[in-house]
Amino acid sequence: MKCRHNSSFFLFSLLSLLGVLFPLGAQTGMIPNPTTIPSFAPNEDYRPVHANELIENATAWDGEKIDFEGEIIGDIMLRGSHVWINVLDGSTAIGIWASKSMLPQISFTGQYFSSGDHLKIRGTMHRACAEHGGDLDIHADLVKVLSQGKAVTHPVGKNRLWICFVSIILAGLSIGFWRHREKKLTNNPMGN
Amino acid sequence: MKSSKKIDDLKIIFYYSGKIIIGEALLYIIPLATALIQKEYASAVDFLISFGVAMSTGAFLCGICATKKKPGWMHGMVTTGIVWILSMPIFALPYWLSGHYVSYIDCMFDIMSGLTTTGITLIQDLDHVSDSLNMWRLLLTFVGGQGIVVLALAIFSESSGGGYSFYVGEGKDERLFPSVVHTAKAIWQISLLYLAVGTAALWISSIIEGLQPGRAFLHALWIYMGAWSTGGFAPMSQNVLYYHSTLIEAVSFIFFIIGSLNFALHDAVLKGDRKELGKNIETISFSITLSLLTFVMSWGLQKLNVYPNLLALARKGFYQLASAHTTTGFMTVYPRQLANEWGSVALLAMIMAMLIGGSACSTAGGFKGLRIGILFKAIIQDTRRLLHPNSAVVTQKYKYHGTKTLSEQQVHSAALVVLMYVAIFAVATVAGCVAGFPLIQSAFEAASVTGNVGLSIGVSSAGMPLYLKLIYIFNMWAGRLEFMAILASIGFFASLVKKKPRRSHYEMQA
Repeated sequence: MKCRHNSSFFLFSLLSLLGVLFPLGAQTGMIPNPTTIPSFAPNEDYRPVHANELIENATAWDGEKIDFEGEIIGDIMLRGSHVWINVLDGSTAIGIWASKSMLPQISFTGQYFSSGDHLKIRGTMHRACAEHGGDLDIHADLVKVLSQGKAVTHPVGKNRLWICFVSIILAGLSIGFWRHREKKLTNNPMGN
Repeated sequence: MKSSKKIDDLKIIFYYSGKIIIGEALLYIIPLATALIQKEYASAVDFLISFGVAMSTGAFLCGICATKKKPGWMHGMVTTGIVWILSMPIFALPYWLSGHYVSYIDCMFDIMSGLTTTGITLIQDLDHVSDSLNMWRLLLTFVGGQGIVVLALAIFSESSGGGYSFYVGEGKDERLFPSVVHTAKAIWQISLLYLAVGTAALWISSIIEGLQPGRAFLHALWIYMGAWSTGGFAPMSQNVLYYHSTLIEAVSFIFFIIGSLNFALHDAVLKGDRKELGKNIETISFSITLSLLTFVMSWGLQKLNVYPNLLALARKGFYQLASAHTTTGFMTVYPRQLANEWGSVALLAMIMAMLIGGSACSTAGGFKGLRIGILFKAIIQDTRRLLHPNSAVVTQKYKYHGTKTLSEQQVHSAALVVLMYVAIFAVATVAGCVAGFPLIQSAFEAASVTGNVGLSIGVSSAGMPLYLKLIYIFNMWAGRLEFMAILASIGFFASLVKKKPRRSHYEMQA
């Protein structure tokens, strides 16, 4: 009896702890306070880097000012005065936290029907961002579009249409064969 | 006479395999409809081709092996074992036609990963795949969580002759109703009820977090499917990290915890027996192991100063650990961060969590909380026996949908399954080391595939050696079906090729 109460209490405590921790971990939407006036003029403080290098050597890059480039993918997620975007460099995407006013006009984001605009981001890399619940992210000082994305078409090839036709006919024939065999078995109760 | 019996057995096995494949092929209707709604006509054609191929295969098997004989225990076990293997090449076709995979074996790897609710993926450029392909990926995970045979049982209710053996073969043994077909239907009803609630909750959360309502709905549905089935697939390459959202993480957390609980427990709670939740051996076992491992992992991460504050520790450390323990595989960190930053202590806690897994008769994988609970109770019983006189009868009881007395048979089967899990985990770990990965990383990935988890430390990729892919496929399959159906399949096919014993000279003369 006591054991049961203990375990219930334990479970309850754990869930309560989670209930407290998760809301507290919500993003506060604080506006970063850049100390320098950002521009895309050549600046030795900002070092160009790729996504894989950022993740592989995250500790070394933590807090560093960087120039990062890639394709904007998916959604532009508005959070108060800021936005979250995800930028794909090679095969790795990284989250960018930018003020809404800083984000240039985006023509396309990368999806099935489009390749996204190619962006350049100048900002600060965080290995485990204290503001965003430990995310590895980049807080942008400046964002610009290097090249616009474009719509992508996916034409249906004639060969595929033929294969499709044949496979559907085959399916019909196979179903017919199955039903015929089942019928034969029903008519012949001695059959197996 | 014997050979005719074998042919009859094969006919029954492949007849029911064909039926299950037809049941799975009907699932293509959903991604096909998605493709048409989203005007993804090239994908729609791919799904039509795949539908035709799957229906042809299933119907051809049913036709060629047509039989009126009812399946027995052995037939159910072997059918379940091989239908998961047959499904791999058949249902990998849309993946291959999409052009997002390097090789067909990668497509098959992802099918096994999806169906077994593992969640490790070898797909390329996931961020640009069609909505219909994402629907197929997540739908397979959702169905795999309930079980493809459970689905077929629910569809073809007449095939209930040896239905219970099909059901048990798929790693489930709880009957919610006396009839296994009713049980299969009840499992689907529970899942669809939560589907509506979960998708609505995640849809609202996604809109709040800045997604457009249309996209938010699809993402909500997919994330729900990945969470409930403890599958871990997500529509974007960054997995759940893509959303940068505490709210979405919290809601997904609730649903993957719920998904990892026993269907019989859901049934009891939905029928008003809430006390079962607090006293059930599995929930107690899960709470204790999760708490202990949270402590170990937090200590390991704190020691290395991996996260700047308690909140980051909860969102990254605890979320990943809960995802591992429920065998979900949702990630909010990059795989290489685990390898480079987390340190051995936290990774060992994760490995333990992945191996233990969730509840029996749920969508989760791993040893299962029930077996851990039983083994723990057995240790207590043996200790008590040592302290009592030889003549004393020492019994151990536990709560699992009523009060049960621990039997030697239960302890034996629990220990055997755990032992087999550990054996295949060890083989996959060694294979990872042979492929050149460090021990801790090999062990992490091996635990992930064996426990059907899906968290990755960066070992799994399209570029990994073929033998490693095959071993991982085997481990996902064996881990999901919990060995019985696999041993039965191996035994059955071995008996087919076994030579007949020669008759002796004296027998010939007689």
